[in-house]
Amino acid sequence: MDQQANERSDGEADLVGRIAAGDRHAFETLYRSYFSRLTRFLHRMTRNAATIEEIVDDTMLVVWQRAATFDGSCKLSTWVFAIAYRKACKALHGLDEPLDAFPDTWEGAEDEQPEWRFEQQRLGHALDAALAALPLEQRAAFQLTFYHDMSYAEIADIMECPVNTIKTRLFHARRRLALQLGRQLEGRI
Amino acid sequence: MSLDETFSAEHRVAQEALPWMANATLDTGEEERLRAHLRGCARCRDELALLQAVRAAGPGPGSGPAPGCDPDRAWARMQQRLDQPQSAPMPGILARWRARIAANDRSWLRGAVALQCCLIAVLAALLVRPDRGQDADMAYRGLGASAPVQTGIVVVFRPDTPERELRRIVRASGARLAGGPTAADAWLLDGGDTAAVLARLRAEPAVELAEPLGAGARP
Repeated sequence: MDQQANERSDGEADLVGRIAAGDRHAFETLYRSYFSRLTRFLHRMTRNAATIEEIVDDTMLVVWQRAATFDGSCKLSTWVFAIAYRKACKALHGLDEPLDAFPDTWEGAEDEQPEWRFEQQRLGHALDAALAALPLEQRAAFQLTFYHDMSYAEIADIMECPVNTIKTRLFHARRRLALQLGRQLEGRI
Repeated sequence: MSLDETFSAEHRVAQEALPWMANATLDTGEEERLRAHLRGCARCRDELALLQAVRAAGPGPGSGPAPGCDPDRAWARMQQRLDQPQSAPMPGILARWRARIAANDRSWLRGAVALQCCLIAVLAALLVRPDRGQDADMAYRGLGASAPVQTGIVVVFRPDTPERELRRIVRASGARLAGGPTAADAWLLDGGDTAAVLARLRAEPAVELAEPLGAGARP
């Protein structure tokens, strides 16, 4: 796993180097590889697809313009998500969008049992609703941990706060989610 | 620290670290410590199982874009932005000021003229301001001029005037003894209204001479 991560990191460092030199093809590769992750991350902050795409574009434009300043002191994903988080906070400041019902996007493994998939789907929907009720900082920390598999150090870099703050935010988020989900979680442990 | 407290502290640390155990991003040392705790803590094991279920219920790292988002459409728009001429980077504050000064920027000139006017007004006010409260000693004096002579009165008493009478005369004059006797048996008095003091002194039969001293003295 470490070897895979290192290879990915080397590949991304190479891409950034080419982007810094003005290689638009390299930029497209990076843009497309981050598009899904960034839109899913931003989807927890706003349900407006046009706004999400706009924030992604703003984020990636910064990457294009400042690729030469990326010094490799953190992962590229940490740098990109940090830019996206700041852009999102700025764009969504004061914006209070209602939570809309949204189509099911969960795609489980094909070989899972139908009942298990149904239960997971049900939990996924309940989680979406519960997450939407969390404060933005707790929501962002939660999804970077559970849906983007980031370490607490990376999340602290992205959100520009101490590691302990991230742990505390997530601890509170878990308590609130447990309260809100209540019965949906019964029988899962 | 008791065993209970040790466990409690360990439990709290474990609880905080569980989400990163679930996403497998803890470093080896942390993971080993947490695994050791999990072996003896059913509550943390249950919590970890729950977090793993929550993680599995959400979109994983390999999932597609958010609903309604289209990478092709977004990339096409991005390309248009890349083709637009980029605005020049913002120069630093020193460079901006240098440019403004060099360009004789109107707003800068207006500010400078206003500042000059204020300065002139302040200087003019200082010039016409009377020397209120200024000590007379602080008044202008040429370098060659001596310090102003202190005003006073020179008094010569009759030689046979007793000391007691002398004291009475000085007290009654309203002045006070400032010096003397000189080689000519003169005494120096000061204080009080010079003219009134002189008049009182000259009225005394024991006073042979009473004359004012100083710049403003008029015999």
